Amino acid sequence: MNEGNNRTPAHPSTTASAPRASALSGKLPRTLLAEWDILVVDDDSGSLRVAQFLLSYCGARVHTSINGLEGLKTAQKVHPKIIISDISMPVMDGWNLLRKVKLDPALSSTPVIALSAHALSSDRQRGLEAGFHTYLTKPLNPMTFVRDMLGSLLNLPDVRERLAKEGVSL
Amino acid sequence: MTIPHPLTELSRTLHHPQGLAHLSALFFHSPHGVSLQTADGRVVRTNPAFERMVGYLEPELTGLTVEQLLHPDDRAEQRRFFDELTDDKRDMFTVTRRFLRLNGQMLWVNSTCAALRDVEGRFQYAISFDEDITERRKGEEALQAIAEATFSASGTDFFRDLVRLLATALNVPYALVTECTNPLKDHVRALAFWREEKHIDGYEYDLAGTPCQRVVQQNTLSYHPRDVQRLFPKDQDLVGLQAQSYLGIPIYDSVGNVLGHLFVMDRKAMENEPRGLSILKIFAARAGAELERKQHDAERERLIEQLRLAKDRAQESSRLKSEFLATMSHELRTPLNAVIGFAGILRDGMAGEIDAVAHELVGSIFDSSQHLLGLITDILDLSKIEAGRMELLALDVPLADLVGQWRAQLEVLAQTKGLATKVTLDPKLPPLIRTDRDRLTQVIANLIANAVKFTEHGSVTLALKLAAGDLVIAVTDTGVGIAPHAFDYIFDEFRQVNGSYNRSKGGAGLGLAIVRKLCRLMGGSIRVESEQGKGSTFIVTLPLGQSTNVADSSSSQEEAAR
Repeated sequence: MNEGNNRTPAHPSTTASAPRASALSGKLPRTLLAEWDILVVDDDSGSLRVAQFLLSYCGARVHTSINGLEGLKTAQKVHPKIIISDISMPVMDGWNLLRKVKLDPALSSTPVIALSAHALSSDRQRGLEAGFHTYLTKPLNPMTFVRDMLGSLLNLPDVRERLAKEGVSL
Repeated sequence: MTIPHPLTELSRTLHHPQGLAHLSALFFHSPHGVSLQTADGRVVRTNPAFERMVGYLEPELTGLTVEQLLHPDDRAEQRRFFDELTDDKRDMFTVTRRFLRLNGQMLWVNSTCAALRDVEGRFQYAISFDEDITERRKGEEALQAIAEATFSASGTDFFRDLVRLLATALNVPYALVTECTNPLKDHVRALAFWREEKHIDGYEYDLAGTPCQRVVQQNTLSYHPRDVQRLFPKDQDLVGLQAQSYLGIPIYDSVGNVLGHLFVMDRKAMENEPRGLSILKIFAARAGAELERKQHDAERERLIEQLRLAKDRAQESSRLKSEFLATMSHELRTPLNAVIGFAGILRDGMAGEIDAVAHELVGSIFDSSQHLLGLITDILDLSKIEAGRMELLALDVPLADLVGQWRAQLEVLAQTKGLATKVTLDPKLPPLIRTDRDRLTQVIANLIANAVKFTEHGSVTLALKLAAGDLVIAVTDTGVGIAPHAFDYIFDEFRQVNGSYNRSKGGAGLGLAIVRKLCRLMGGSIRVESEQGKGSTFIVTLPLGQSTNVADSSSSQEEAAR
């Protein structure tokens, strides 16, 4: 079980910062995500803005929505390369958004990444079983967030190509 | 009933015309059935009692044999004995047998049959004396049922059987067994009520004014062979049931407390009270044992129910607590996401270059929010362990992998403070150990982080060795050390040691509490050795899983110096 940072297998509790975080910190190229549409869905404006900033920093065109239903509409309009969604939201939650995306032939192959404050290992397990491409937990680690996201998308040739082109190893 | 003797004398009397008349008068008034049969078994003379018993009138009986009046199962015996009588092989016989009455009822009789012979000893008649023993037999059967415990095993059925058998045994229309419903013993509830061949359910009543009151409240037998309605004019139930007589006794538990009572009533006057009483006593004793058992069962059921409720409440409370903690974690993590995210963005200059002071301040926000996150995680872990919901997943893990991971972690941390590091691995340790990798790493990472945190100069050492079949992992630092008096509570929740391990070092004091709980969960233990100002060693001892095998090697690497 890992209740802590996103992809660290286990981290020391209390104050020690994860060593991996410092090892991986370091600015990413501003063009790493250039020309890519990424949709972020979250009802917490702070969370939305943090993700938006980190993705925009690397050049992505970031679209934001404040609930699953808005997110679905935006997705159907812009056909994003990646969808990052919170789980607990009003109107339509992340589970239903995921389901609708998977049922839409135009979107069904779009990876949907969960970014949730439900951080128990059982939450993560349920998320992966439901079909989220990967399950990241809040608080996100600003130094590793983009790397973590791309690390889960290495199955996409676009992503591998872009990483090679920008000279980034994860 | 007397057997005529000597028989020859009776025969002589019978042959005397007047003697026969005398005897006929005697037979006429006898309470027992008397019949005369010829050598071929035919009935030639019966008395009124015999007619009443079998339900035939004398003219209807004439020409029938006694054998024909008997239950089919009893006929062979009758024939055999009767033949012996007519063949002069015996003078008399006594058997218990059953008449089938004209109306189909069965009648148990005790029969004595004697041969009447003339002066030459030739067979003239057989004379039978039949005593109706049906009632006695029913009583005996009921008693036998009690004695042999052929009642239903327990519960309501037991009491139902009890009153039914009791009414049968005493040949009364009413039989009740009750239990007191309150400590005052002024109200009883029928456990079973046999009323005119039927069970009546749900009968209860106040004892005041009834013949039962004295039985239950004064713990004594109560017998009213007649006029019970006149004696208890306020008892309307007696009127309703047309009761004339009453016999009741208390039912006790094994220490003599009255639990209820048992009584019978009849619509006519009661006779033969001693026999009724002895039967009632036997039934009451049996009922007392059963009632006591029933009450013990009820008490046990009540306790079990209480325990079950308490357990449900505890589980519910535990579930609510877990739910609360999960919600709390979610609610705290959400704003923390923005705090940590923006602090990191600012600190790392992603939102524009900032000066050194601002960098330090923002870095402090970042570190503090990370600390807060650690606390949330720790609290969840701790509550999970305490609720017994922390489950271990033990797998075979290459020890070298684990040590490599821990070494990397140690080196990264130690580097930030310029500390030397050393890692030793006992070659006698098996290459694979069975453990929950994440949990063990959580323990060791915590110890390493603490060691670095409390050490300003010198080194931090991680040493793994095999000792007495256990895996012993020691994390040693050359830091501030711990005062001996603190050894006792350093592993307690929310405790930090003043002076040496102080709050200025951060941490809520949950880390070591979790470490100790995790060690115990893994079947191991943790202890500390320390000298103030010189450093500390935290020693984790874990049993090695069964699937592991110990590598054969004689040399051991030098263990790190404390």
